[in-house]
Amino acid sequence: MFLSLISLIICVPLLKVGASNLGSRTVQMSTSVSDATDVTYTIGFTNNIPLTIGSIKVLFCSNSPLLSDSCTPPEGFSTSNTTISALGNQGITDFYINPAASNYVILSRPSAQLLAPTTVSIILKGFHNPSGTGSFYARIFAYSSTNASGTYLDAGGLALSTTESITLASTVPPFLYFCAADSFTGYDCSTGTSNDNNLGTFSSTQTSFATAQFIIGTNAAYGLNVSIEGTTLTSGNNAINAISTPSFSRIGLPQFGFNLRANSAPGVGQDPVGPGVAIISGDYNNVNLFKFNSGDTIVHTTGVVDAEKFTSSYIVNIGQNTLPGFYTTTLTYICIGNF
Amino acid sequence: MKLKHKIKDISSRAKYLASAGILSIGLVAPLALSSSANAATVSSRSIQMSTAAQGATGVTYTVTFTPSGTSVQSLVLDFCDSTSSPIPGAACATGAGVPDFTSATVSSTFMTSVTAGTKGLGQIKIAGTAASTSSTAQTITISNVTNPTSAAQTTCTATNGSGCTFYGRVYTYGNATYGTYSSATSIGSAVDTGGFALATSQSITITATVKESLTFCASKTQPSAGCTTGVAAPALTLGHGSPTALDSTAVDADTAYFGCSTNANGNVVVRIKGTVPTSPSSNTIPAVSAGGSAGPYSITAGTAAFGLRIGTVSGTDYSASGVTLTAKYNSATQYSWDTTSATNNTGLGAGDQIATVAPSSDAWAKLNFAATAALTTPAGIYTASESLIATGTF
Repeated sequence: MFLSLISLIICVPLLKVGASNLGSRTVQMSTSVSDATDVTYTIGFTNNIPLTIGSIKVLFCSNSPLLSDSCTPPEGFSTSNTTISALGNQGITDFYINPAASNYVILSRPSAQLLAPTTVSIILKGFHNPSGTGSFYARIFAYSSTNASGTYLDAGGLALSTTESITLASTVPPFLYFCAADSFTGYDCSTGTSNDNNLGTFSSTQTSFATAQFIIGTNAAYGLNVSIEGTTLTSGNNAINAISTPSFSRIGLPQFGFNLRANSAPGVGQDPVGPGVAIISGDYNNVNLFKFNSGDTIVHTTGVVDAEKFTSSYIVNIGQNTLPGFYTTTLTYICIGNF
Repeated sequence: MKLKHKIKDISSRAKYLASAGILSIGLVAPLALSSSANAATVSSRSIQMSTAAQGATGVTYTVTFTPSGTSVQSLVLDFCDSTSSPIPGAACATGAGVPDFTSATVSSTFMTSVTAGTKGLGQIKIAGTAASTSSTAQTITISNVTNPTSAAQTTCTATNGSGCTFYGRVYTYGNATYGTYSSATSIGSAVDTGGFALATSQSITITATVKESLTFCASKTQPSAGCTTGVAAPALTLGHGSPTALDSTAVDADTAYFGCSTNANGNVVVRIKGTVPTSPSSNTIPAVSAGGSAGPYSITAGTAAFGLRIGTVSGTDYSASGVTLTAKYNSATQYSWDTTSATNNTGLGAGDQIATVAPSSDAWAKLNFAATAALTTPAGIYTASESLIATGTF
């Protein structure tokens, strides 16, 4: 007999599930973060049968969406500041909100028939989400009365959920992107070639010249300064005069200088390239005018600057009385970020 | 004394069969009762009902018995209510407490070209053009029978079938005109006879209510079904090296998961909304491709950008069932972070839809957040907070 009854349950499963005529029930939250305030809930449903609706009650519970169950208010949840949006509502647009308790809202209107099917969407603002994460539930009741009194016409439940927010953290360190070499490919410091420039044999009848490049970039909020340090070309105690003020290249007159522009006399150099917008100091920003003064700031920015490549164009002239020798110099580019 | 013993046996079996009858398949054991003089008893008798529900219509009664072997050409099935007995020829009350054969049809292995003769309340007569003489089990299938109702079964008082008994009797005859049968109490010279006990019961109704359910979680690690285990705070770090930093040399990524279990028949829409990485001084790492809505887009190291992708490999990037990804997040290498469409990732709207989840016990997806800095991205600690929003339609 016992076995027979077990079989009975298995073999005759006439399952009956309660159905609501409030179909496609949904509550869309503007944020599901637990304990969030000023959250917008968009209440939606479609009535499958004509209903004369005077009010809608939306009840929020932590324990169950079932209409027959008791309702435990979700902890931390509140509707006390809930208001109805004046715009964006659909299906029924003449609802006003009655004073709300802690876990339900009542929307009222002059009782009128709602044809079926009508998709209703009501935007309610100012909810305080439950303080914990996890599921909670809403029960939507439709009444003919304007204050959610009497027997409801139809109703249905649904489930919602709060979650933790995903937090992302990243640290952007101070950048100072700087390098110098004879040349680079693009703005990639790793492509730098030699740091030695051979100007060949000087002549009093023509200008000798050479180039070097440096790349800058920084996220320093107050920009950067690039300066140059070093001496003019020397050979023992003999030196070629550094150009102390911007001057043209003068063949036969001992000169050593440079600038950061594309020059035509002599034809050497390149204007700055790249997305950066650094400023070349005035004395080194003149086409065909050259200067060298150790310690001069040659490039600066007032803020962050993207990658930018500069070309230094060196010129050397000698006179007929320039003493022979092996002339050399070491120039150092110094970049200081102002963070 | 022997007969009395058998009647006790009938009672016992009737109770048993009443229980079995609840299974919707009425299976009735034979009753070893003898009939009037000179008739043999058909053996291995049973009547199986396709449903024992009280008042059920369209029921099929499958009558099985083994005849004695004497040639027969017709038979009568009489049914008597619970105040009667299965004894052939004994008093038989019919009325509404017995099945109705008025609309019944008949097929049989017992007789070929079988036809139903008189059909009515509590009785059906069947004749065949040729008779089987074998001693093997034979079957007569009677379809479209109406079961007795509980109201008609005056002793049927309980929902478990107790007292809902009624009885069948079968008589076979050597000719095609039912011998000298005239009534249930005057069965004439039958070749074989036999009795049956049957029972109806009320249908068992099982009512179950399934709650609307939506379990949803965000986690650093892949959560288990229902988010019951494996949930860790989704705190992500974007960067590389030590200490971890975001710079222009690489695209850095970190992952989190969402888990969703639901029975929402209108599916669950999963959206995400939040901020791009922002420093305390309000500097930002911008959304990839200026927050375009037609992604996915590539993130190139050194071009400051922030985005999200999920992936393309079912079972690896998202659960093998239940999850359908939004196209702009369904990429193995490219990202989106929409700040331009109406329901974008960062505005006041609902957030940007990244996936839908069909009813599922264990749907999940792995979210890949990525960013890179430019040379000009101001130094600082950048943070973002993203809210995953699951909206079920029930």
